[in-house]
Amino acid sequence: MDGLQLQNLRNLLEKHLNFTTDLPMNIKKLSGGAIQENWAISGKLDQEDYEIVLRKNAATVVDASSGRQQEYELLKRLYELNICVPQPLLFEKKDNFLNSEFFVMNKISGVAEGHKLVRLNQPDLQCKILQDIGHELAAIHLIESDPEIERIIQKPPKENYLNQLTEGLHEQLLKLREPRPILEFALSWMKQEQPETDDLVIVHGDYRTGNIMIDHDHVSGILDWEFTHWGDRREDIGWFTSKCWRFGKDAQVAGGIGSYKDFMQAYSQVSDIYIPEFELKYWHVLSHVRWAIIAIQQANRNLSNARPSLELALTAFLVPQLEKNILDIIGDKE
Amino acid sequence: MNQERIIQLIEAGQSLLKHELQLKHPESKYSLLMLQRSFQILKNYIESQSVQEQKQLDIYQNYFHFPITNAAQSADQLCAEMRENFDMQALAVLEQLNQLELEIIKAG
Repeated sequence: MDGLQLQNLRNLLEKHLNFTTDLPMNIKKLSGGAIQENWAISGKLDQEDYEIVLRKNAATVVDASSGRQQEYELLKRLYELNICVPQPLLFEKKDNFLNSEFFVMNKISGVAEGHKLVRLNQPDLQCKILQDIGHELAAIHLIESDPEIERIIQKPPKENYLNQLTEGLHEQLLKLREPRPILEFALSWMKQEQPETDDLVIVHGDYRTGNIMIDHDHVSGILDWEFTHWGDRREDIGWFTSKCWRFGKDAQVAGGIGSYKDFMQAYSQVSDIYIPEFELKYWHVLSHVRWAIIAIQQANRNLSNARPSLELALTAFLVPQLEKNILDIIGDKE
Repeated sequence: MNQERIIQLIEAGQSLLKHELQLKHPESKYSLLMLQRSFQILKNYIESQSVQEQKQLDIYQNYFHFPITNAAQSADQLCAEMRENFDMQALAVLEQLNQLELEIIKAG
């Protein structure tokens, strides 16, 4: 951000939130967030030290990602429903000094880096964290209907949900104009093996180690709601337990943190629903296909950015390993 | 300029990253690791490119049962077939093609 943008931001925060900052403003771009940019800002709110996060679009976005207004409105409602999310404070439409719609929320303390959380080497602590992750996911999935959320995110008929999801993935794959026979193979397998859909619930859409902020032994906030939609709960459970989100700790099926049983027992304490691990084959294939398509999209974004990004360019090289996992799952080698 | 010289250049670059820059600039560790990774992929690609191309053609030829000269066209054809019908028999050929790509991204 340039000096004028920072000045405008400072004025805006003071006017609308009574949030004051030092000069120069203490603002830092947070790591991660290849699709969105997150900026941490330190200052004072009503004379007390306070930290906020500004979340805006990156230069280009991924197809399935929602707009910031939708994410802000969703966060507001989830906060009202006592879901563990950062408190949203302010939204600004696109025609502004940052040339991007953005919102501001309070900053949550804790660690979200997946590679750190899976390497704590403290089994009891990891189990406690995992149980809280299970409780929080179940709490999200308790939302089976809510007029306000249904206004923000349209609820599809249950019978169309999986068809729409797989057709959407197919469309995105075709748009990439890159032949990926394994992804085509997986999508055909998914059509053939499509399971019965459970009642639709709110699905976070990117619930994984890395998007869950952990403070000591508990979840302090669930981040990145840009892929949220109505869906089958097993979509989130499959995503969280997929091999691609275990950060190299493959034996620890639940997010690389611990066992599936510990995670699912905690989940069932809140939801009264226990999904057996064998039901997840379809959802694990779905997770890998989805992540592979997003990875190629992200790598392609490197080409449309004004400045090339090595991080985005390298994302393309994750795809062969994701495809290997897909073949292993379908071939029952995992 | 031959392939060996390019590989020597890459390895020298990797050595500089690993033995000097990572020590001097710990704050840039993540970026330097990404550079390391990029060098390794380049090296793998250069070392295996010609063999890879031939292996790819052989795999497609075995699958389609006719002479193949253009791997890109064959990949498109394979995609079209996979899209049309699910065929578990294709798993083996996909594993072979995947193995070739994994060779390029393997760690050094």
